[in-house]
Amino acid sequence: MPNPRPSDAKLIEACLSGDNRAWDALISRYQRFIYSLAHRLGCSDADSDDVFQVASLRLYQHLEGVRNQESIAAWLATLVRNEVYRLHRRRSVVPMSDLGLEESEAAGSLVGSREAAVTPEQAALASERQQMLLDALGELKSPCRELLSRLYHEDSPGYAMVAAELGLPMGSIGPMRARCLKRLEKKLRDSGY
Amino acid sequence: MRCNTPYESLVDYQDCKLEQVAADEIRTHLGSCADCARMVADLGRLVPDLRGALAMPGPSQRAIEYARMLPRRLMEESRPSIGVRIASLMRDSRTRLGAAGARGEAPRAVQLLYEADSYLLHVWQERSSGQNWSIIGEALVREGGEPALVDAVLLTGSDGISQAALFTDDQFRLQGVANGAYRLQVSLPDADITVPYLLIGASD
Repeated sequence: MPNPRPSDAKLIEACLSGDNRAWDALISRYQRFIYSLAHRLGCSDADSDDVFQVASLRLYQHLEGVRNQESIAAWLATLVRNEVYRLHRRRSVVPMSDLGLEESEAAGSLVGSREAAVTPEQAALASERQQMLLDALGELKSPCRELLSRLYHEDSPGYAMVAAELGLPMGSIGPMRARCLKRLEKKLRDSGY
Repeated sequence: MRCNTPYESLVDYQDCKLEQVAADEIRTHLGSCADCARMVADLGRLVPDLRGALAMPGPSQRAIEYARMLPRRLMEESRPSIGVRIASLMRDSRTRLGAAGARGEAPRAVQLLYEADSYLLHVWQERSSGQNWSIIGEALVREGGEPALVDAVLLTGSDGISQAALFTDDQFRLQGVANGAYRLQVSLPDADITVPYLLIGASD
């Protein structure tokens, strides 16, 4: 019987007990969230990598405190925004005082966004919603999790290849996709998505 | 009358996988079936969201390896990679209370000022309810007095149980803190400031 996906709290407990595999799983769970939020906030690929590494270090150093947080994603979002802000500020050639901005305004203006008219708060919320969706997907049982991940990935090879990869009859892919989407929808509704 | 339209057909319709004739039939049906129209609308939001989530970019393999190796690497180091600074108390408003303080009465609000290398740490304690306190704090860069960006704040009691602070702008807050002795850790990008002994509420 496949093991159910451990909760964030269980993973953190395991990390604090010295289980390095739990740490690997925690990083895997949030690596795209951290990196993509930095990207959304205007960082280059290299800078997003740096932000991810700093955030990973901070997460490891503060596992005990993060354990008590309601949402790890929200905690990480604050961390990423602060780090991106520091990055931009270090590279800004114009002192903030010369911009005539208050500190909080400066944080908003210096931390831009790749998406037009999106504030850092909106970028963080969008990333958190995507993480909720990935969490719900991760909680689906096999083969739903693998099926939806392969079919809706941007590089999806199509029904025939996915059926072959998963060892499923080609004709079952369509009906199974529908059932799996229904299950995913229910999980998302239950989680308040 | 219960609608017999298979959900799979709606999924295929939303994904533009139906032949023209079948798609036209579904489109016509949606005009008169609110349930099916709602399901197609829901799919119209879910599927793009799912594609977007699965397309989220990720860090390089090098960066992932760095992150995975952190527990192994940090265990090998005898000292933390970020400098730990022990804060020194500069000012405690309780020492100014005179007779009230000598009787051991707990003040309703306490202000503390610590210094730690290039930072100052303000900590306020305010009685909230019963024997509980609210703790509010901020870290300032000593030179210039600008607020320092704080990553995390942890308050740990003598029982080893920790509470993480919430943030509002530049200030951190902890609610419902009982009387007692605590350790306060304030994490900044280049330093961890530790107040090893923070007495909350009345003295013993």
